[in-house]
Amino acid sequence: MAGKAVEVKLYSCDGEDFRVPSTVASRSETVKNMLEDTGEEDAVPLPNVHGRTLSLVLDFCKRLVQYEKDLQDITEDFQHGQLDDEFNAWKQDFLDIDQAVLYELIMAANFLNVAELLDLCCKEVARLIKGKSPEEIRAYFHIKNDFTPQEEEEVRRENQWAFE
Amino acid sequence: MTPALLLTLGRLDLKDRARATCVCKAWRQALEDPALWRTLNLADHQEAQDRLDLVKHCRWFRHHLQELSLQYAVGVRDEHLKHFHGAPLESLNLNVCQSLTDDGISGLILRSPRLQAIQLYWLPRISDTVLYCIAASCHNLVRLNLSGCVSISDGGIKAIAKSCPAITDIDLTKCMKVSDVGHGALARGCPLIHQLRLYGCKPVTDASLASFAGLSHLRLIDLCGAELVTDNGLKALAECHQLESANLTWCIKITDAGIIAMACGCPSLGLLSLHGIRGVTDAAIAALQKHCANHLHTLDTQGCVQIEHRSRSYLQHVLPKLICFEVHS
Repeated sequence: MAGKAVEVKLYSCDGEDFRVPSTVASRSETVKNMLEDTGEEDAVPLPNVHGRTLSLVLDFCKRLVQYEKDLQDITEDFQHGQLDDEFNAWKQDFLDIDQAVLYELIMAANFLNVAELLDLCCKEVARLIKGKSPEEIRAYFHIKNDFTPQEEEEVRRENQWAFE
Repeated sequence: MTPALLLTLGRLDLKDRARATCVCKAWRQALEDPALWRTLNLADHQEAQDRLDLVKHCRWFRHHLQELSLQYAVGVRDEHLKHFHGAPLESLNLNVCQSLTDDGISGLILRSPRLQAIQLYWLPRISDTVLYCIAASCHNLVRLNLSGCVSISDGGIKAIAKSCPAITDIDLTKCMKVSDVGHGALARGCPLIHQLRLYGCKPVTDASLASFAGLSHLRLIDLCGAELVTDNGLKALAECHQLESANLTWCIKITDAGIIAMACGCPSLGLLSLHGIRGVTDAAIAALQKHCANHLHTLDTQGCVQIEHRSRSYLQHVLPKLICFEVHS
């Protein structure tokens, strides 16, 4: 296993093919388990994940593998912080996506079991919600208020403390 | 969208959770899912006080909270524990919450009969009162950590022994007021004990160990600093044939006879510390070689000046599984 990187083939629900090093694909626990079951020669079908989302997931996994490799190669402590800064900046750019895509990414990260990506995306959504009123959240995420007036009054009363 | 929502909303702060509940039916349903309210971990939190002041508004914690950890959290007071009265708690960690008193802890414990794990590490002010309340309330208790609760005594331990027969792990580190009377009661009342930590408990005697001989499930015992224990005590402990880990550091009265008995009786021993025991010689090592060579991976012989051959290479030669030579540093 050690030495030359083996390439594996993944294909998405809309039939797109992706060829990536197995080190990258294995950042998904789900894919890793599938590869262990079926071997690295067989293409891995991912019926729950769209090509455009899978492409983003794999971008993230590549960058993560790169970051971890860089960490192993550093010789001085101060370089650690530098690598973190670079990775964090990359994540910021990565998250510059439409909120619908962000939701798809959360679903994909959950299904593919990429803990670092799931954590990143959930934190981003939490950040977007933080400090916003229900009205602002609805406007931001295009959500319709489907409470009846009575229900809304009840839920507002129960949670009134958070508005004080 | 709902599964993604659940994953995300669980990470919101309490105030954001409450506001998000008012967004729409789906969000409300997601945020009232019991899974979001089962655990509250404020361990090491510097502003635990502020968070706990908000918790009182969250009725869902009272309905669903099973695990509460306030370990090392700053500013936790008795009144905060009242917010959790009535919650179906199974695990409670109040380690080093030193502003808490008997009243606050007892009030919560008496209302938490489902508790299976209680950790009260380093709360030197709490007394037997808390133990009486545990005995009165928590009959399913499995793990109890009283390490550093230096004020507790035999009375409290006897009550626990009488009412909590399911205990498998108990830590009485530095509980100097618990004598062999308490130890005996514990061994009789809690026959399932696997792990028994009595680190720094000077009052441990041979009588304590004689009662532990009945603990047929005992896997781990820590007797570090039990300076009254003699070979007779160890001969009794050798009845615990499942024993895998024994810390005898500074049990200064022990000699070869005790270690030989243990080696014979406890062939599964993986860890043994003889640190600082001057009465053991090469004969003890020979007995370990004969009976315990298949499992012994850790052996501390620092300060055992009468063991002539105790270089690492020699010990590894006679005990090929050894990989660690230090338990006590």
